[in-house]
Amino acid sequence: MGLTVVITEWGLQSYLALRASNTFTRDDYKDIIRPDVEKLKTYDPLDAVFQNSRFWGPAEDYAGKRIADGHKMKWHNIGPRTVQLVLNGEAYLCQAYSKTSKHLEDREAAKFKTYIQWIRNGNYHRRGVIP
Amino acid sequence: MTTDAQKLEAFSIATEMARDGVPESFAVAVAQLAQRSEGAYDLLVLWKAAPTSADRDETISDLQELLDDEHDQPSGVETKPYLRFDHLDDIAKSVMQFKAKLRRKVDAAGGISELARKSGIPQPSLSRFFNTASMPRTKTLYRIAEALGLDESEIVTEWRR
Repeated sequence: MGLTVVITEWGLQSYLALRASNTFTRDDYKDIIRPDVEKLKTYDPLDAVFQNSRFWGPAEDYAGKRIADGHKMKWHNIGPRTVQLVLNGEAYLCQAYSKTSKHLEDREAAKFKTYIQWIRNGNYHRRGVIP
Repeated sequence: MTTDAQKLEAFSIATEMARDGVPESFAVAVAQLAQRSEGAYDLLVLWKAAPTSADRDETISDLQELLDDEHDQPSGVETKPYLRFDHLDDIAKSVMQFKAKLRRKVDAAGGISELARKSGIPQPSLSRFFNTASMPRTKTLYRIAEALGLDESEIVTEWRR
């Protein structure tokens, strides 16, 4: 059940901010981040890659409540983790951030919850799909 | 969806926020946003529980971003042009150069706190605006221009959203 990977405006802007602060290198992106994100194109929740909780897991809010359809993709050896909504055959890349504190992650989750609401309502900007 | 109890609590926290010094118009706007968005309510709760004043400031910036996002929300799905990753470095550099130039005008006019007072944009949001490479929003640029008495030609930038 592969997914179409949609880049949202929020996702693009957060990548821009992370690149400007050198949170990850171009090589990190080309060799690790991009290939991992592309795994969503052949997404199978039962695949070992997506069973690895250090790499892939549910998005939760500050209270530990699961955010419906929300997932996190994580890299422990480089800066960013992305948060994405997986819905109806499409994965929406909504945010990328480097977890520097629990408070920051909780705030990112709160924003993500709002983005999901707007995506579900069909009111959002997209920047195309990953080819 | 935000529950009735959460909606009431949102106004209570926003009142506290106003007492803490954020513009009243901002406090009212975020309380209203929290009526429509559980995520905005979560941010209000996180502002109240923030372990440091820096975390509180970041939360205010996040709330301002959500207000701006809602304001800029299209009536349907709107597609903007794709940007290749290879171009992001150049775009980030260009954005930061533009913001540095604008920052010099802000400093000449009394600095960030004076701009916050004149524009009604919370100071933490302005600090984030000038310190990150996210593309500036047209609405924010217009508010800054109005507050500083700049004309359109002084806020022209290749990259905005």
